[in-house]
Amino acid sequence: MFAQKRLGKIHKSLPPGISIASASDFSNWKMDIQVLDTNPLYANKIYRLNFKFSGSYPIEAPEVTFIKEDDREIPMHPHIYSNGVICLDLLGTNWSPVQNVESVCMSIQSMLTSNTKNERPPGDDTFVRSGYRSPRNINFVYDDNNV
Amino acid sequence: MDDADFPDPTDWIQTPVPGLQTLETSLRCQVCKELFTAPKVTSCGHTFCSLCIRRCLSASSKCPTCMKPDEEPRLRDNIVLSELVNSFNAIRKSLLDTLVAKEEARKQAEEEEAKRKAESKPKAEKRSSYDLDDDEIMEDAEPIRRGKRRRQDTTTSRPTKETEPVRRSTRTSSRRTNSRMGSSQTPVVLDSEDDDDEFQLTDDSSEDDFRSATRGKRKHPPRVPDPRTENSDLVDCPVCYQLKDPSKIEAHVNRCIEGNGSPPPTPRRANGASPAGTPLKRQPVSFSNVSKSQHRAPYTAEEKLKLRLPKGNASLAKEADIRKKLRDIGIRCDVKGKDNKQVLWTRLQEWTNIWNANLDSDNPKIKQVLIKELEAYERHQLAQKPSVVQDKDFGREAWNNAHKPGFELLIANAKKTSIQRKENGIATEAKDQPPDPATGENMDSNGIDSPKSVEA
Repeated sequence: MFAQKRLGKIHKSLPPGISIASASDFSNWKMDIQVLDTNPLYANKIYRLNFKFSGSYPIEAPEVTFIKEDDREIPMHPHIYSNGVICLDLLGTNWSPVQNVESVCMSIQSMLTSNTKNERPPGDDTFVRSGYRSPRNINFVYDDNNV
Repeated sequence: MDDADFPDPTDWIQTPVPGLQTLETSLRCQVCKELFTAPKVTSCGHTFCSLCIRRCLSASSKCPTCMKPDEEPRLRDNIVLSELVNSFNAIRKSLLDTLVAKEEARKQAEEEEAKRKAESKPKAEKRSSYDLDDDEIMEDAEPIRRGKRRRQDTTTSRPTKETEPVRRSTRTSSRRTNSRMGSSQTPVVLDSEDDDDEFQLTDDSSEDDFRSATRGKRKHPPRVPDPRTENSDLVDCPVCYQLKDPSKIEAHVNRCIEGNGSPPPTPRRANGASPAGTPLKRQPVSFSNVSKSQHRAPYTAEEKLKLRLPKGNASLAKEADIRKKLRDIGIRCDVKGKDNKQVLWTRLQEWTNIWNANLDSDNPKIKQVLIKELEAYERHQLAQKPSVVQDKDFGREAWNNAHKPGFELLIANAKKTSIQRKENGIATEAKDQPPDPATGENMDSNGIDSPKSVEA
């Protein structure tokens, strides 16, 4: 229902560093994002985000994860698990229906830009081993306001 | 054309007036990104489509923009915005086409001029004529903007007379618009300003035309005045939904809870249709005179069609009541097996949202259409929900692959023990101890086996 509108809106004028990798259907989009400043952690690298929309989007948040492909890796970040799951309040409790794909990409972009730590979240191993299901089933505790 | 199918604020970037992008963005709902339909203002001052904000507030009682808590009864109409959207929507296509054509003409002229410049210098005379042409076009692009601004001016300070040159160019532009677009609303207004004598008069009449055109759009029968808007100081009693003076609400609620709910001044239920004990139905309030002991006649069928539905309370509502309510409306329950209370409740909430938003709309639809919409919405939600089965399958597979060696070891162990048990014979089984770990292991192996069989 919202889907068609969604597609139409984003095609033109995306902010720099953000581009559509594929948007073939309305339930799954892939976006490429890039950090534009000279942060040594992410310079000259492109990362791929996977958006999964439920029927109640935009009332409900989309599932957003980084995905690994041949030329795309998962960025190093204290809030991004090595399986691509992102811990970001915006995508969970603080989701608001006024957000869109573009604004989510921008938030993640700035989350990367401002990061200086080359590390994974604590407990990354156990988290990843516990089996990836869906970010929806995970209750994050948003404890860090700095990043 | 693609753009025609998906009107979007970015359409304006390519025109000589890119600023229109922000204008249109402001006329769009932040939730559905469409032009506002029946815009509603929250108590924090943000505006959304009626249906959008109702859905948002049912999901979480917060304003989507600023996250301040809010609730449905506090929403107010944004009438002027609704008029703005209507008139903007009416002129949008012609305005865009005109501006795009202007821009194209300008570019073309520029190119030609560049070509000519490159060609030769000797033809100075000819060039000057082209320059002039170009100037005219440039000037042409301007008047549209002026025209628009002026149109706004006329609404505020009507008798402003324009200076000659501006008017002249307006005429050319409006003529052009007309020839290109056929008739549309903008040119009509512009045209009317052509003749000095008629200026005042035609302008007025066209103004009226314009207004009546926008009015015409909201030609639904006069709304039943919402007592909330009329008496904005009154507050809802959470128990019986009567509107009460804030100063008396506490006493009233206490009375309600104690059971002798209806205080003498207002008749508790003038409407026989709402059965006792359904907390969902808001008590009707007489429109003209809210207070005092005036008994109002029961609602006619027609009046009932214009009543906003109350939201109710999920924990107070009984499943049978919800079911009855839905059936009374004509909404099907239990299409695919028995729906549980949660599903029914969500359906009723969505119906309430659709129904109330429809009443806010300029062109209310009939109930049957709304029911179809509700069904379509539910289908859509189901279709796009990342279905639970799929998700589990995916997780299972990943899990299976990651732990294959471990599983195989366990299975082998389990088989070994079961064989051992058989070999050991009945003697060990008679003792109660060994079977316990054995069955435990059996259960384990079953648990592991099942995903494997799914995979195979």
